[in-house]
Amino acid sequence: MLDKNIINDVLLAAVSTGGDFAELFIEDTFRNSMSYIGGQLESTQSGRDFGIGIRIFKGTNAIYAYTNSFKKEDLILTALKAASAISGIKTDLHFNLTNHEIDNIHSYEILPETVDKKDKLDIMKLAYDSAYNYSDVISQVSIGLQDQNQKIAIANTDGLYAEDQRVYCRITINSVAEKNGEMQTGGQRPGCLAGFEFIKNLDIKELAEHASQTAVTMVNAGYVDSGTYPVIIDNGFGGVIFHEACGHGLEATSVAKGTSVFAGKLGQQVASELVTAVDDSTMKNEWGSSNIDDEGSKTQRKVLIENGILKGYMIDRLNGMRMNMPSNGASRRQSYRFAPTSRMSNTFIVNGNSTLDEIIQSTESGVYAKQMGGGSVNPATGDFNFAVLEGYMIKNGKIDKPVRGATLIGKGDKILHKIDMVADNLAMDQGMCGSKSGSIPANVGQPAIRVASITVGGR
Amino acid sequence: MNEYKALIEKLFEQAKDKGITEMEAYFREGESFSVNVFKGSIEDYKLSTSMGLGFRGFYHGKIGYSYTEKVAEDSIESLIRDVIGNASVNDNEDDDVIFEGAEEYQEVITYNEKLDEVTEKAKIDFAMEMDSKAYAHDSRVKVCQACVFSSGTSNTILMNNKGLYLSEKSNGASSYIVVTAADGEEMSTGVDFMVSNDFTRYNAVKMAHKAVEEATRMLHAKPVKTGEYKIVLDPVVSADMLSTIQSMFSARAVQKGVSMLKGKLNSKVASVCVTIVDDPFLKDGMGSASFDGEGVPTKFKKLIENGVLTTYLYNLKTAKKDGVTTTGNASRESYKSTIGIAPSNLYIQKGEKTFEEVIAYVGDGLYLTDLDGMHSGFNTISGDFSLGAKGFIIENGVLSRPVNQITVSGNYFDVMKKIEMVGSDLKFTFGSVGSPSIVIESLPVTGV
Repeated sequence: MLDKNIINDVLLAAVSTGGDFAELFIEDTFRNSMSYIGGQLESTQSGRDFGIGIRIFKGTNAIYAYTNSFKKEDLILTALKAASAISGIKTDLHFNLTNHEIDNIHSYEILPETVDKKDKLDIMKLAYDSAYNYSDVISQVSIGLQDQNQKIAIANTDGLYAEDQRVYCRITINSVAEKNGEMQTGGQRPGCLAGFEFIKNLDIKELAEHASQTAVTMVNAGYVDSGTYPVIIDNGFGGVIFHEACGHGLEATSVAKGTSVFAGKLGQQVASELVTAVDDSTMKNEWGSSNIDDEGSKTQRKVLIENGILKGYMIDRLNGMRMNMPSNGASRRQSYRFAPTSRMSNTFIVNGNSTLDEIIQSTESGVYAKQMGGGSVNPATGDFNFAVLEGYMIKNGKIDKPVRGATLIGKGDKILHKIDMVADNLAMDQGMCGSKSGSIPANVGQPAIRVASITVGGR
Repeated sequence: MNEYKALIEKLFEQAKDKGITEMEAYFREGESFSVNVFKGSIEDYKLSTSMGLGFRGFYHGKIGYSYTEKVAEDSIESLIRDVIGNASVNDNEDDDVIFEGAEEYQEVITYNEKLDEVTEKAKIDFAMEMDSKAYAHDSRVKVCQACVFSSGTSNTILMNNKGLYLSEKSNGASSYIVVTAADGEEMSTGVDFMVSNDFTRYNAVKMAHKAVEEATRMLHAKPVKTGEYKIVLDPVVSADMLSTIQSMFSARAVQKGVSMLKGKLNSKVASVCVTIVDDPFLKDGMGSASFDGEGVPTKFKKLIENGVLTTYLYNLKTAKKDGVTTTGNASRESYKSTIGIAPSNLYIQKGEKTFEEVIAYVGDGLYLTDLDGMHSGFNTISGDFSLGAKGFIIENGVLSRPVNQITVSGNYFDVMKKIEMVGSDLKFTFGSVGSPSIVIESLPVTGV
């Protein structure tokens, strides 16, 4: 992607003032995005992101610089400017850039940028028509189709040189139902680290109808009464609570700073013994996977919590040094514009022994959160707040009326102890996770779980 | 800059040969700097120089878009190919417009040369000082999570083959501090921020103290009893809510049927004390500009005047569809963006009462300083919200103990009608949306 001699010289310039490690991240990404609203194409955009990030370490202090320029003199200048933040003498580093061969386990068949845009439009039309015609109360549908072909190269003063390619495809379907002047929404957003064959193999009609079904159910729902209830959070996107309220606290970024509630608790009971949680960036073709992380380390399956005991964190190189622990291939970034840091990939709670039916039947009265929406967490205190996109009351062990406007409110570390049933229906769902190193594709996942009691905000 | 202008001219020439008729380029280059101090040492230090070129044009009567960050001659081919590819599938019936330019543009100062003279050392020292002053201010400060100072400069060119050539140089800076205070098991967070391209307005001690005090005053907060309360929303909280739901004013959202303000033009949508303006000429406004994303001159306008909805926000395409003139609100966040609609500086106009007078007027109620879950518990289409809240009890016209672990719910469109008073303390968010303190007649609060 860039001449090795140039890379070599830029790395040397980066450590010219005493830095003890330097790294280059070279990115060349092609993107396409289309949006289809109200029965016609709203916008299409195609483009190329291109740039180079330079990172320098001095001890555990880090400097980051990036540029879009691919000219040698500009790159050297950027490296020198970044290096000038360190005042020292040139480090005597010797390295030979050696190719680190990568076995691409996330294969693709059809490169999305080679697909005729008319074929993409036809798929969006099918999604639109299926969602719009689902019911008379559907007032608006918007469809998005995004694909990306990211090529990266990473080189560092350890002599590492590695290249990787990540091909992503995703379709988003959002339905709006309107009744008596009120609007409610429903959505589906499957995505994959794979080629366009992923989109072609989806049952678009069923996904679209599912999105509309949620909106229609919710526009006919009454408001939930706020209070404290046992809450059953169903599989798939339900995992967003674990992701936001616990997962971020297991990233070395917050553990190294000591700001995480999980810092210093390895080997301790941090969750109910029914809970085993994993972050696995090696899952074939999954949304959050990659062959190597964004500092060139091979990705891994990491057990975070096993039977309620804290087993490990997601660790990047820099925070690993701060914590005196090795990296486990968890360093990620949105693009060359961001310094990488420890992030989640595919993070999920593993299957338990109950069935969803058993959990519902054993719940006298409570809330069933069939589909979760987004949420937010205060990282310092662990306070979280999540919207229930599609919710129902549970009465006498049966699913009762749908309820709207429910939000789940609590503290991440406390909730983990209150999980008293775990089902066997693990599923993944796709999200974009925003944090320090930008917005990256991440899978959330879990089987259905029951939290013994949680505050439900409503009306 | 001339180098890039020449490249764009070459792009236009080759595109014309390929059958693209009207076309426009949007080029931006910039530099940025950011430092984050943690416990007395530099945790993040970031520099950048970057550029990108966005291109759009008509092919067989339809518009297509493309962009590249490799701004060089060998990118011309793909820019043209993508515009043609995207235009070829464009079945949108509404007419896109490439603007020929206007006679006059009001001058807006978006560049402060003094900021570019501030050294990196001065910026680092500023962040260092915030960090140390925060720890020194109160022994209950557990950790100062972030002390950030960022600045940047950019040059933008918007040009088309219909005679438009506009350029803008701007710079900006911002800073924020996040502090966690602890007392035993009790923990709370406080934040302060500043946005301005005038470095002399930044005061590290003041910001550190404000964040610390905001954190410590919330320690030992407790819920209140469930019930209906008269509510005072802090300016930044009110501005955050308005910012979250601002797309209700977009003519695009109205035309697509996803704005609750659809069909409400010239009718009462808020109480009489509410006037909401969009002011692109606001001094020091983050959203200030003399031209919008399509090169149209911006203008000052009232969106809601004394409770009555007076206009939506338009760009050329949506204005043409509604048979009105554009309000100069075409948005273009970057060269990667297609044209959308966004306000410039959007704010609720201030009233006359000071914050103390507002609290005295309320007598008994709740003053909310934090709403959590704005992006989950707030449906930006329906206006329904159910949010975690923190704040203070208002008792006998003054603030008393801190409150947390409560939720407040309602519907934003109802809230707008239930605003009884607006204060004189207009403040802007980290972005370009502002509000004074507002008094809401009553909202249901869930506590204990």
